[in-house]
Amino acid sequence: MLTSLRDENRAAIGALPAPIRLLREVFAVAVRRCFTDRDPREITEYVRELLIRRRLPFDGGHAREAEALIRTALGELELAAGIPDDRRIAIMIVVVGDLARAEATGSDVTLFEGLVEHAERRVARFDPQPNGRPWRRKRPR
Amino acid sequence: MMATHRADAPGGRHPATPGGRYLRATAINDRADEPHGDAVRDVCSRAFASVVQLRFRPDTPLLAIACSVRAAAHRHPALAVRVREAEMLIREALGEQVPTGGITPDQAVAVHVLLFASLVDELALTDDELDELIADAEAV
Repeated sequence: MLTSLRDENRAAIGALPAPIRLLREVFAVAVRRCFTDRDPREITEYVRELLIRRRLPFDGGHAREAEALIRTALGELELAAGIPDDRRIAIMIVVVGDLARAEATGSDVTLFEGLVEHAERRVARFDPQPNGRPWRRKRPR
Repeated sequence: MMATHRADAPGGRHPATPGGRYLRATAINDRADEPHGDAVRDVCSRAFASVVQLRFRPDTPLLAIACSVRAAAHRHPALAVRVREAEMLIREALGEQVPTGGITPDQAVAVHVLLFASLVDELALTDDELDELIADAEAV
């Protein structure tokens, strides 16, 4: 995860469900900490500036998809329907890196480590255990 | 606040173009063959902008706009409304600078017609008011 965020390359994450689940949580943490109390129209402006900085097309489908994914993390669940997984992952990696670097100072490693640890704790708290919920397990005799 | 019914509703003006008649038929849930051409697109686009400006203000919360788009999509599940594009077209009609690149003319006119019908329903316009709205879009 840290390598993917630092290098903005999804290769290190691969296609396994657990790392992708963790990336979704990292994305949700980064987006919520930056945008929760802001007017959603500021997200349109943020995405435009991000794409311009990256010299990417800022007036088309990429911009709409990035805004939709960010607003989905803030609760508008249906907005991102139909965006392919590869595009979602690419957008999440770029946005997480950008938001983390904009919001704090310090080396990339420190920033991303803190963010990923936060997300890991949330995943551990809210995702069901693979072998059933603790209160449903049989007690050992 | 809009009166429940306008006493001075003028009446008498009716859609006079293929695009206008198609918009009216869609809004009152009547059958009509879909016309084509630039003139049709222009009428649909202007009527869409008018109804959007009646329904929303430039500072309307995005959640309210997204809610209307979602309602239109749920009313017509078979038409697979493109919700991201629809929201951007509404916001563009309200004067916002938003990413609308890559939306084809056919996709745009589909959104214009469907959202026009849905927003007319949300506003509970009378038939006379609907005709006025369309006739104004045709007259430009």
